[in-house]
Amino acid sequence: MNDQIREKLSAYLDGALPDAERQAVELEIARSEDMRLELEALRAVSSAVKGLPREKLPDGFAARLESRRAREGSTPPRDYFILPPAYRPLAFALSTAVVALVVWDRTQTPDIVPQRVGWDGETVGIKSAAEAPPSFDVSGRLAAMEEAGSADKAAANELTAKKEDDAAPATLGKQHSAPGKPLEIQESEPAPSAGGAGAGFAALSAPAPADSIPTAPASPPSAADTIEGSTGYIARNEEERSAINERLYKGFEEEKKRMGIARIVDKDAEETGLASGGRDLMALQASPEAPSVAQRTGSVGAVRGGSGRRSSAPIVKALALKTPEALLAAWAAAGLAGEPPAVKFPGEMAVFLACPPGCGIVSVQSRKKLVVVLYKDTGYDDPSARVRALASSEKPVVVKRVE
Amino acid sequence: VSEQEFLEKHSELVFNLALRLTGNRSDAEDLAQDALIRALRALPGFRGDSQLSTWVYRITVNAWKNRVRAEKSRGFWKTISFGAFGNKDEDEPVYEPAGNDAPLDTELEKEGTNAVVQKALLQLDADDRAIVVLREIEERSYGEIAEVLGLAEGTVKSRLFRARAKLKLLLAKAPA
Repeated sequence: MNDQIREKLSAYLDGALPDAERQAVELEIARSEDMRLELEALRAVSSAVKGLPREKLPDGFAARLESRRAREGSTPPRDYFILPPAYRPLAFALSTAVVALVVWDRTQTPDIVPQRVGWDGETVGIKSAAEAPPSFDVSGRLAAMEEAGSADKAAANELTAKKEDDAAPATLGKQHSAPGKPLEIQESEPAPSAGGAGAGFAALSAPAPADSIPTAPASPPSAADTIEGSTGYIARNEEERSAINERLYKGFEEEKKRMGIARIVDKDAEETGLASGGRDLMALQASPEAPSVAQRTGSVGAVRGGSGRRSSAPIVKALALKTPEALLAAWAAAGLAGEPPAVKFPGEMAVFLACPPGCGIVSVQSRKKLVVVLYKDTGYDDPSARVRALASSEKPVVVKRVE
Repeated sequence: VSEQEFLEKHSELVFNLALRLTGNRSDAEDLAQDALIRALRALPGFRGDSQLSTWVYRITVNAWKNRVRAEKSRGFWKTISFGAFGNKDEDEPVYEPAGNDAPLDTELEKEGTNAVVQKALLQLDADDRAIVVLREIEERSYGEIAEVLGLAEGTVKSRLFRARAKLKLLLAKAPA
């Protein structure tokens, strides 16, 4: 009760209470010494504030006001600091959306892939066959072709062939866009609607000894040679299948050349036909068990075509090879014909230039702290220009392109 | 009402209200000019729904509250920017609050009770300060104060009581 009366003291002081409340307050004041003291204290505060003097306008106020009016014109002054109040809900909504997006992105579990060091020292992920995307699944394109009607079979086949020509190198390029990274060529899972072309490439890229790849156009026959659809079947004869496979194979070979890959070896294959047991090739195919070339040789220089930024241009590397097996493996991996030049191991080491066909070493300079390999694009393939003998050292090797 | 008549009648009123709200003559003049320019701009649209003085009070109090909000925003962003990106020592001199024996208190002693009361007023929050000033100095009724501040009359009544109680405590703590 006292608290309610106490709150009304302020209004009582101002004469702002209705009669009934005013009488109740007066009764309480008469009865309670505390109430009376509280009222006096509030009255003293009120008097103190009322005692603040009224002041006259500063000299020149009117002139300054007019001057400011003229200066500001009709533009209303800005009361806000950053954003007009009307835009604040929008800004809040946008910032909330951004935060939500970032939080959502952070909460996504990334795919964990095993890591290893690649040829040029970078850390790269290794994918298993099961994880590899169906890079050559052309079922969508074939389905579109199917809709064009079986009556126009010849035209449809031509369209399919053209699209496959376009698609195959692009897909390969994407898959191998980082030279030096592990290379995985996986078999496409033949979808129910995947036609002969898909199956044809599946045969091409199926895990098998590398030597089997060129024979891939002789793809397995079966239901994959036809396209099943609601309007019937599009049959492919042997000639058409061969043409499609030939085109895919050609694109594949071009991509290999662009990547500087001599051939692709199945990582599970035991027999590679190489004196080194295929260990050097393992680096190309990035078997998890194989030590990287960078680790083994201890010295690898690499340069990528164009500027220092990452690009899809082929990477050029110089390998400091200290054993004849390593040289032989690198030679074979580059697909070079004949025997590598003689190098007097172990007093000497072989500087091997790993690059696409048509390049060669100009000179090798052994400097104080590193070995500089100058190379250029000759336009023709001279295997002997890929190797230089040099006094064996642990110095790092760098590659530089000259015109 | 012509602009000239309006200014003659309300300039001093607005300046005094601004002086008690801001606590110093410089800010008061700036706020008063701001409020008067706004009022002059809006004067042709004044419909006479309320007293002209109440209308001018409302413009002045709103202009002042906008400034208080803007100052708070500046303070917030300054804190953020100095804290995150810069060395405060290099960006601006460190602000040191006045101690008990600083010149400010000496000045307060000279000016006596009025300065103490003004200092206590400045410690009230914006709405409470405006309520006390409009009631005690401008002698406006609860209804007019409610209209100026856009509050319910009951709210004005209860907040005035709390503001007076707080002032009582502040003045009791102030040096004699």
